[in-house]
Amino acid sequence: MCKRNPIQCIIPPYIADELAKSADPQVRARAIAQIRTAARMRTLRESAQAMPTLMAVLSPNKRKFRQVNDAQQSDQLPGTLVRSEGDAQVGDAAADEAYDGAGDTYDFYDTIFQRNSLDDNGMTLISSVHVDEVDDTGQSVPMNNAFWNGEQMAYGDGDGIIFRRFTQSLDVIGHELTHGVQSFTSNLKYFAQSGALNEHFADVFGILVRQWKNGETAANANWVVGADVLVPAPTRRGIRDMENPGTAFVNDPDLGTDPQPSHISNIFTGPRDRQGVHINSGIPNRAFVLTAKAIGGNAWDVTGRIWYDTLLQLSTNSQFIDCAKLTVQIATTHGPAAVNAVTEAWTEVGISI
Amino acid sequence: MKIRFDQSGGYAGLLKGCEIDTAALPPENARELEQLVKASAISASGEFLSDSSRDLHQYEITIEDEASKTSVVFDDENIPQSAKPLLGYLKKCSKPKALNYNNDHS
Repeated sequence: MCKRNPIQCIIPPYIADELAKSADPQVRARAIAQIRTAARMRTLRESAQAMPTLMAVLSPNKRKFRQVNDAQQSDQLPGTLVRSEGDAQVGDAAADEAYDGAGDTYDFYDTIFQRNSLDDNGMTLISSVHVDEVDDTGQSVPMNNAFWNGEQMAYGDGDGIIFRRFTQSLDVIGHELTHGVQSFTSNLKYFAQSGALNEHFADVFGILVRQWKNGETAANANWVVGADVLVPAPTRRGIRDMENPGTAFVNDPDLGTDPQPSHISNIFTGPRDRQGVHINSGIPNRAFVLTAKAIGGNAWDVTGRIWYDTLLQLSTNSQFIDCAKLTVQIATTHGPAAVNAVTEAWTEVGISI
Repeated sequence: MKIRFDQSGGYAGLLKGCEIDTAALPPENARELEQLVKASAISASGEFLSDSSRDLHQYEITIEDEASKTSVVFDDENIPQSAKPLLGYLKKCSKPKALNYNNDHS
């Protein structure tokens, strides 16, 4: 089935309607079947947007189950299945990294939060690697990106000049999978402040997977995300700096200057980037890091737990203030020191409870 | 004819783009670009963004001439086929673009 634009992969309705009146019974029958399928697919697609659970594929073992596909330098998802759960390494770095990273992310959510896959119901983790962009002449070019499409992860190889393959970064893999987690929990609307929160949680749990895997404490952790997808250069340390938003890259000839604000007074409200979802995530990102460093120990323990429990209770339209209030409220179950740390962190970025 | 292109989003959230005034181009280049704009069939302003995908690149193309100003926004999953050549051209002349709180409050 064509995953790109399912409606455009079927004979358009006005032709099917004509064929349904054909004198030839076989042509009629096929056209009628076509019309029914198209109607079902449109309904499914509309329902799927409202109910993400429809798009989850339950795994055979109802626990950790990974499938890695090779899009073979095309933009068609998922591509060819190259590695399934339990299979040995295939020797393709991108495929094996996608497999391992999905496993690490699954293990993190399962071990720390007792969450069984993205939907907490053993959903299959589907990834595609070697996903390209196709230009206007039909030519494939490497994709400088990774994304979640509502059902699966897609990873590009990078151009090798500015970007490396996106599977090299565990915080990217964790980030994309956390978008999946959110579609089954808060489902924060991907626009303006709620969208920036969606991006924020993706960065938080993406980096926590990495810190947990590497045993980094909050004090000695590296709070920069996406360093591993960049070809190194002196003008860039990574894609985003969660502790010091706006400093990850400065006057870089390819990337420009990191646009993230670190305080609510600099919140971006223009139309770019769905009203700044990747830009304004800097504000809550900094609040998270300040909290984690104030509380001390491993960031995934107390701070991670407060933030995870917050994620489960936020709603589609939650704003920064709603997130702040909820983290403070949930922090009360962890004691006054935690409440203090959370409150001061939000105050520092300009959000007073 | 003035064309403004803005790319944003993607995992990295990078901001890039370009602004072209065909009056400032050599006549042959101006014609080439005007052809691409015509072929793109962009005729009405609109926004075409995926509901369920995350970290797609977002593209905004604003076309302004004496008669009108049209602005379309779409992401990687909603690129109109007819606009692909124009998009390819605009991507090639894109440079990193600073976040301008004044201009970008449109």
